[in-house]
Amino acid sequence: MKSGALHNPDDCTACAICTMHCPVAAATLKFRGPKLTGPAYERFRLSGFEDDASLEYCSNCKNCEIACPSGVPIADFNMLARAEYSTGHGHAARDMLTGHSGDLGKLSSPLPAFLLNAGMKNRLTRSLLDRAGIDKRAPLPAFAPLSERRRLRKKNRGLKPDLALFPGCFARYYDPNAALDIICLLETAGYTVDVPDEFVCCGLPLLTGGLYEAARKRARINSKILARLAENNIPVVSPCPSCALMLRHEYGKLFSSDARVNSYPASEAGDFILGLIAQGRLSLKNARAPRDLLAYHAPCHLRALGVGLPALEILKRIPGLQVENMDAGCCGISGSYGFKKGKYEVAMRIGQNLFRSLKDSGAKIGLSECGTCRVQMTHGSGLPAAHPLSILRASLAK
Amino acid sequence: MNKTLKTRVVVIGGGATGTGTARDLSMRGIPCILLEQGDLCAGASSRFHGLLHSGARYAVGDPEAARECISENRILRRIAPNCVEKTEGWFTLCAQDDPAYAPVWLAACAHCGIAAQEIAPAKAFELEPNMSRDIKAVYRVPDSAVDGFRMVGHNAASARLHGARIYPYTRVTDIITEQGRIVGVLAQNRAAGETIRIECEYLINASGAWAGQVAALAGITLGVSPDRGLLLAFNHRFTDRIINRLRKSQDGDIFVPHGNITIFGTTSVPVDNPDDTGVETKEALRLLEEGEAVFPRLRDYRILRAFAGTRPLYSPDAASGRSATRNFVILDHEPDGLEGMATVTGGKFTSFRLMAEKISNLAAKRLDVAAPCRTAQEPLVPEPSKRLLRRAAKVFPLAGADPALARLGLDLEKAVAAAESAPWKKNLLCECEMVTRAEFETAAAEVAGQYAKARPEASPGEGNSPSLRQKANAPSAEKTHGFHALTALNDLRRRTRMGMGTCQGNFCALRAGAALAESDVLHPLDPQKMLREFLEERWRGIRPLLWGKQLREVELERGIYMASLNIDGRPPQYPDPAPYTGEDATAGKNAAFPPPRTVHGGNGLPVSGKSASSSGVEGYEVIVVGAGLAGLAAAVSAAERGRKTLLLSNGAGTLSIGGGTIDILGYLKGEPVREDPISAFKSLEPEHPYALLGADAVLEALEFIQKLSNEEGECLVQAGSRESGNAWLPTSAGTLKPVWLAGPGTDPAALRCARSLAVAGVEGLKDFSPRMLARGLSQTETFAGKSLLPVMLPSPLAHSGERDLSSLDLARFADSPEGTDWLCRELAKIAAKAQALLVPAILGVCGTAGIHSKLLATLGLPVMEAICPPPAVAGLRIQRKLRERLRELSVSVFDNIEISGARVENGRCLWLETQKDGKGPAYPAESFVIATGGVFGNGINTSPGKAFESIFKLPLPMPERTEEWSETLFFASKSHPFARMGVAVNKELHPVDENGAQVLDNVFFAGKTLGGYDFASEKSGSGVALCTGRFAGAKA
Repeated sequence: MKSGALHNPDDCTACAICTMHCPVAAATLKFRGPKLTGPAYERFRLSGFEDDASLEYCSNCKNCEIACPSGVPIADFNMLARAEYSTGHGHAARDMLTGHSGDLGKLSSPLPAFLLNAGMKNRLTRSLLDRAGIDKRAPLPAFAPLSERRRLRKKNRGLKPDLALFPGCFARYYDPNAALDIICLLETAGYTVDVPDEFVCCGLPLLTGGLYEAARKRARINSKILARLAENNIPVVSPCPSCALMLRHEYGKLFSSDARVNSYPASEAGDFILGLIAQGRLSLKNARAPRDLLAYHAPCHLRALGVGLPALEILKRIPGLQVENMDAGCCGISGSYGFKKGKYEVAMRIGQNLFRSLKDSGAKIGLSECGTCRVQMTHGSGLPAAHPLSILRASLAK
Repeated sequence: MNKTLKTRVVVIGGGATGTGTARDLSMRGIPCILLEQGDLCAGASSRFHGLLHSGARYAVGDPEAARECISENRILRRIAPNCVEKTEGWFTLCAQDDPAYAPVWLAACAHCGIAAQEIAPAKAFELEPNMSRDIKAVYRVPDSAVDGFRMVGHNAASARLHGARIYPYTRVTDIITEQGRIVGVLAQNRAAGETIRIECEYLINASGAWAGQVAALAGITLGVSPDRGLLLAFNHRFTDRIINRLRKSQDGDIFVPHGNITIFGTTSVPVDNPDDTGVETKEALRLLEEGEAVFPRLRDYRILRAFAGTRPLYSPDAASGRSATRNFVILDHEPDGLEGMATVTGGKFTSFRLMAEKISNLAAKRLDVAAPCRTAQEPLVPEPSKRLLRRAAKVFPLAGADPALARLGLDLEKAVAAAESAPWKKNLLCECEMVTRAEFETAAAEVAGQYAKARPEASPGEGNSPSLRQKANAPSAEKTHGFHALTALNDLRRRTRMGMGTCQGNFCALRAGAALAESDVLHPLDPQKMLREFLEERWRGIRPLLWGKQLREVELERGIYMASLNIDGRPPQYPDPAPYTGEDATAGKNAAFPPPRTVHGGNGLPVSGKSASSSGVEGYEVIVVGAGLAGLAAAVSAAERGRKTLLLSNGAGTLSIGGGTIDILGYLKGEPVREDPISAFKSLEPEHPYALLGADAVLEALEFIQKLSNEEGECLVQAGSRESGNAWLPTSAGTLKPVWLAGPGTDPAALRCARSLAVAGVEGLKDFSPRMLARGLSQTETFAGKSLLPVMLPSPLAHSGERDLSSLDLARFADSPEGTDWLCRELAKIAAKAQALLVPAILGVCGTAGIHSKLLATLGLPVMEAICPPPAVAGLRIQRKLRERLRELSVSVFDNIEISGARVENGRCLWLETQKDGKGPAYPAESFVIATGGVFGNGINTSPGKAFESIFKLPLPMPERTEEWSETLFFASKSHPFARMGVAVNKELHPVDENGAQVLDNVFFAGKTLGGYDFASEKSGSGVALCTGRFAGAKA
């Protein structure tokens, strides 16, 4: 018998609002929908029945949880069930690859980007990856130049910091500049920022790949560091909404059976910086708005965090800055979901709305806090995409 | 007399013992007829905890019963593996129970041959983590869980296979004796509406708690006292094992995992009447209190329902309750001077087979039949072939495969074949218990067969002479179908578990009715009656538990069946268009609002001592909480006035599940509103939101939503009018519902004038049956005598075998160019046959106006959407428009934010808090609109006998006794008191205390959080939400 909040489907009324708002269900009939695979099937899983293969279609975007009027952790149900299902059925190679992208990034980190990208992006590799389950059309992100990655690493200064940045794998390996921009903003506000080298992947890609145990291991490692930081009242900030969501809400729920894993009040960077602006520690007085129209896309996991859209709030306060909230739903990528074979088409169909909105907006740049959202936005619309706080940093630069 | 049948033995009672006896007799070759007053297994055989005793419970007090139990337990596990789940059972010693009982009990178990083995508590807690850590000792015994419905169903099927005839809904009205000898019985067959005389040589009374009543027909007095036991069914399985309290038998001793629910019981209350299965709330609460000793979080678990059964306690010496023996007795009535009759009663489910064996032995002896009993050796249902199992695995949902196999028994092959016949037969009619349409239809055929068999012309066998057959008056189809409408869905529920899970019929009832209407068997002539009957039965089990999660489910049910589908309301009679009377009484009152008063402290509102941490969110003038129709309308209205507005949402709001029409007021005190509903406001209670707002505010809000919805082409049409009142529009349940604004092209006059109407469904769209709709409409005054043509369009989307098609899927498809073409093409094929077309809500989500005008142009006749259950395609259109407008107005929308409380000082709200400890981010503003919804939206929290508003914790006065929260009948003519529960406000929509004094100066309430109205029975939900939201937003 399993126990705990994530095995108690009792808050669900079966209203199926979640299925109506599920982007995957809107894109394919192959997904039974979050209500069925989540709380409805949980009742059968508790009775010892085996799961349904349709579960693999859940992208863990959490729109079901956002739509649910009953507070049911629907996507978490799905993730735990998937973990159990894949333990019984073996893990797909592609889940191992995408799940361990953090480790792969770490392994390759001493290598220059041109080598890595040439290695990853050539036809041979892509067709091999395709065979392993990574769709060859998928927009795999490019490794950032070694110099940038080094600059971020150097932020682990062993100083006595008063703020710790949890960069997340995407910033570490593919887009250190976004993290560096945020560090710069935090430093302007007077913080001594540290990027602890001991932080590992938050575990989310592993979890969505069904690799629960591996995710738990990482959660343990991070929890230990987070606990130490908490003891010293050092705030933790992440440029990645998904990492922040994991640290802040999901650790305590998903790994409640592990006493060594706890949620920690880590902040999403925009949320934290909005607070700094409110406290007067960071001023927008001298901000100069970029001339281009900007198109903002809210990552689903940021919405799931329940902090509003803080970076958009900030940008809107810069006089003369033109930013439009696309409000066009999920982009489809959901971390690595849209890279996977069989899911690529689903992800592209999900993102249609956003791609069209981006193209029609007349904007020159797309904005989103989430790294893989940015990759997908560019892939689907051709528009370059940046972290909204990078825009803030640029507008504050003298 | 309609008919005379002849047999050797008549068995009275269709529970486990009765069907077991029929099986036993017919396996010995003795012809028999079983008569059951209701459906099979409608009595105590399904109204118990489902525990197949190991005997351990009786070891101390009644060793003989204990030995019987362990022996029968072994037999049933062997012959009926489909009905028994080998869970094992535990006896747990709780901290408050006497530890000295344990050694006594252990010795008694050993004495009776029941293996009881100690388990270390640490190991036990690991296996059953939900169990209390205070438990001192745990012992394992061979208890099992048994499914009463299946056991009885399979026994009956096996008996029939061996030649027995079984007549449900046949009540014995008289026992005929001649010279002290039984010669037959008279019975009333309710299904066929006829009286049957059955001649027999022997009569077996196996009617359980009703045994006394049956015996009295033969002039015999029996010492059988009915004893009621209460049980609670929980929504999920929180224990894998049967958990018994290790103590002398008392109330609340036993938890049984039962498929994916858990049953907890029981109590023991002597009653006079075996039909007295009523449940009192206090009895249920007492059970919960007992149960917490074993499962400390028991009150957090959702209770599906409470139900009671009446045990037959045989106590000639007038012992009652727990002191009466649980042993069974065979009473040969020969010594009483009546030859040819015996009664078997007392006992328990576990020993039903033995009881059947013993009574059959007696009957066989009296009939001089030497054949021995074989029921302990032969399996109840033969093992299905490997090949059949492989086929079954392909057509049943993975999780549902095994339960379906076990339920179907002998009918498995039929259901598999049905599922293979068409892809949509794999549709899940019941998603909570995973019942496919194929299984449902197979069961429906079986039930129909039973009804038919009870009718004389279909009865084969002896006594059915041609002359008699000619004499028999076949009941009119009307009569039989009327009966089906009362019983069919409940009969099918007992066979399939449909409607017995989480939603308690909220979604499957309509689908099941639809499937019957499309299937030709048991088709309901009166679909609404069928649905009402079924939902009333579900209500009986929920009513005593009307709080928390149960009440939320009930509100969803009222939303679907009452507010959207109007299966409760009386149909209208169309009045002649009344002359327009000009200004009505309530108009123009808006200007006369009194100025707001300031109330200082002392109003019972929480004042948080802590200062909240800043969310960094500032500068908002208005914060709206809630993203339903009221919240969205409020946010738009505030922002349109130039107020800097923030919308906080926690959940997508009920526009996604409502009917998608805007209704003002359809019923007033249970009577249809025939006049202009706005003029009817003058008849409302003064606290009704409409009475508070006045007509002008309502009319303004209606104009607002219509204008907004019709920006890109007409999408929300004014169907009602001040002159002729509400429009009565068809729903997918076949009813007419009073509506003001409705979907594209709605034209009530065109509907009324059309001589022929085609109703088009889509294959595989399980929520919509054109035949059910047409049949329902044909019974209304408006459509009676018209040609109503049900049509089924082929599905445009390949059924992938995974998700079932919904109206939302079809609407999204219709939004694509190929989807629009498909609609035009398919509907064009039937356009020639009718003057108007009715379709489900599938005309797109985004491009509705365009799709509709293209259809009009192609078909040249009116096309309208029926009002449908969730997913609310029409509601999503309104939601989409409002959210688009919010974006245009640069209103910030923050998702997934749960407001836990508020900081209030001097009668003003300063900010909203987001964590229970008040330490989460705070949301300050100048004014606040609270549109958090009612019980379903969690704007109102309830617990037994208590209700309060969830943010400011405003107390909502409700009776302490849960029974007084509701009327006895779900579809009562009066509103349930709980339905009108909500925050009391003044004309500015500020909350007031019981004296009418304003308690919060800058807080407005809107939508279902408000009290004083019943959205469901009045059909006023969307209207009140829209108008109060619009008004509050404009004032905030």
